[in-house]
Amino acid sequence: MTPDIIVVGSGMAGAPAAWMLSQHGFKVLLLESGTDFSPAELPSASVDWERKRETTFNPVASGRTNIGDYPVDDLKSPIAVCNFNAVGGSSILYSAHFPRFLRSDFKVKSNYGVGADWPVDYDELLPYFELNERFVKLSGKVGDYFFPELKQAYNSPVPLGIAGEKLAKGYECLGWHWWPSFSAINTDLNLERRLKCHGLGPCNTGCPMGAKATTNNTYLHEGLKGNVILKPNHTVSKLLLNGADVIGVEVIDINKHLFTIECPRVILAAGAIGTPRILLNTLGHLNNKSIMHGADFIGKNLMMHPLGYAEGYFPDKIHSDKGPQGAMLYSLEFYRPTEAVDFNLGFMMHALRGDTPVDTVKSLYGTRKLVFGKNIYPQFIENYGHNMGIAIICEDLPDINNKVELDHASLDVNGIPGIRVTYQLSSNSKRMMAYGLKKARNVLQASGATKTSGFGPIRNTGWHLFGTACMGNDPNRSVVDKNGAIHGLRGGYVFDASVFVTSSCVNPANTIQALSLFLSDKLIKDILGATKRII
Amino acid sequence: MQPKELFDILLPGDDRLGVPSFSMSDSEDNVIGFLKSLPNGFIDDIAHLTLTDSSLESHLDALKGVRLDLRQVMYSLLSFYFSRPAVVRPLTGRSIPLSTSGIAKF
Repeated sequence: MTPDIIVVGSGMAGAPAAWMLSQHGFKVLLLESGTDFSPAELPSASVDWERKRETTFNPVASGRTNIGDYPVDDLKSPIAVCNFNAVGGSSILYSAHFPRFLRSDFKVKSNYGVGADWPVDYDELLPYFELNERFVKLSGKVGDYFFPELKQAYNSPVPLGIAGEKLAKGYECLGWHWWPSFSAINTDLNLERRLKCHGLGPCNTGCPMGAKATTNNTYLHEGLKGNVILKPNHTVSKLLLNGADVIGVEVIDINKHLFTIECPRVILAAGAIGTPRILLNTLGHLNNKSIMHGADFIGKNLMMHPLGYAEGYFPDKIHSDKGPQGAMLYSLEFYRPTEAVDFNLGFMMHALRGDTPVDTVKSLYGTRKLVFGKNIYPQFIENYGHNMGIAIICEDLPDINNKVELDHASLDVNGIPGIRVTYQLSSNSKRMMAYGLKKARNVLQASGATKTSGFGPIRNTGWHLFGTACMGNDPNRSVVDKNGAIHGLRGGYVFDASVFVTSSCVNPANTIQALSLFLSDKLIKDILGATKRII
Repeated sequence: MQPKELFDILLPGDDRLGVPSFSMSDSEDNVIGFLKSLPNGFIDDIAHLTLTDSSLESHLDALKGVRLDLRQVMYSLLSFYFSRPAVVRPLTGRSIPLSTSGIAKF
């Protein structure tokens, strides 16, 4: 098959793009560097599910050496890069907490005088949020005043459980906002490929039941029925250019065969680490680097969501081991604090259920509280199912000094340079996190916790990565335009979170997918001249 | 002292709760498989320890002299032991593997 379009990456952004393009008859070749894991291979389908989080299914990029992985040196960052290279990408391991970005997130500069405005606004994305939520069968409860345009959910909210009910009472007691989580989890529907959730808990080790929407069981499942050809274990090393025209990609397969695939249009959707790696490697092979007008900004402005964690211990068992770990409730009380604070913007409080068995004992050992011998068992029982946490997810701002670069001293198995990350927490983030942890402990205490603690930033939480191929109207200050087209090139696009201008403080999966659908639709209509749209 | 002896002291099991000791927590093959995964440095380091004083504290004190990163070994030990169905089921009431309601087809 000679493809009309190549999409690189089958995760949050690539799969929706491939699906939408295929719906219009375009032949899409979807190249994925990682393996195609079947549901039965996911950790929680086996005895050693918790141990696999430390090896094959380790979310920390530097702690994994699967097919498709590459070296990531993030020692110069207090937050480790977390992602997953496989068919489905990071959707395999995400928690499926699924809010939208808020309207004002797209106009941060205009509204708050910091950061930058997006060249795309909320209203343009709205139909694509709706399409995406319909596709993943969003669960949740309509009516949160922070999301007034959200009119429909397709599943009931994930049950709060005893833990969530206690926490909700704490918020009520303080008069603070809270709402049941929006999530991409089937709580009512029971479909062949997406069974109804029965509250296992560890969504972030993969969901063998498929209750959690991944790109595998949504967009890829549908796309592969049509014009999408998926090629796992195919690593794209660089774009091929003829002058300013993209003419294809250079690919290395699992047998280390290097070859080229010709195609006039290539969409990069390898995430905010993988995409700049391809772009920087492309740039490194160009004699005339000025062809890519925004070349100086590739890899720059890396944003994360600095995360602080507050934990509460409850003397009565609250059964916090049951239910999706990251989908319970959230609070946007401090999205934009109304009281005087010493930081800009704000944070989300994301409630998390309690620890797994292994995490319970490792946490006790890590804090030097674990007693070995006979007493370890009553100690375990006193703690397991008795705790819950609140993640303080801080909105980050673009900073040119936070970046990813090629690491020529550390090559992957194919000889392609790895990635070196340089990132520092801003003073704004530090002040915000300290404030947030204090507030989180307040609400845990109001909920009945007799012991609370708070700490951050938590290192292994760099899931939400943005900004390394930033979108903008000025070709000399950004990498792609508002259509996701790479400034200066014809036929090269970026559709993933690399293009995010700012980060919001909520989980980005829904917005990544909605943006990818929006950009794909624009590509279809405005560039390829198709006669009809999905929307 | 061999690692298996040490780990049985640290994780002795609880008859009343029905929790087995480390060495009885899984099949012999799986227990041996775990022990083989330990770094040689750790095994060498504890070889000189003896069971002359049977108190738990004395063994833990002796372990402070272990040169290798003891925390990593302990994390591995805890991950292995608290992943065993024979340990987790009586302590939590939950079955492992947790996914018992079927696996999706796609």
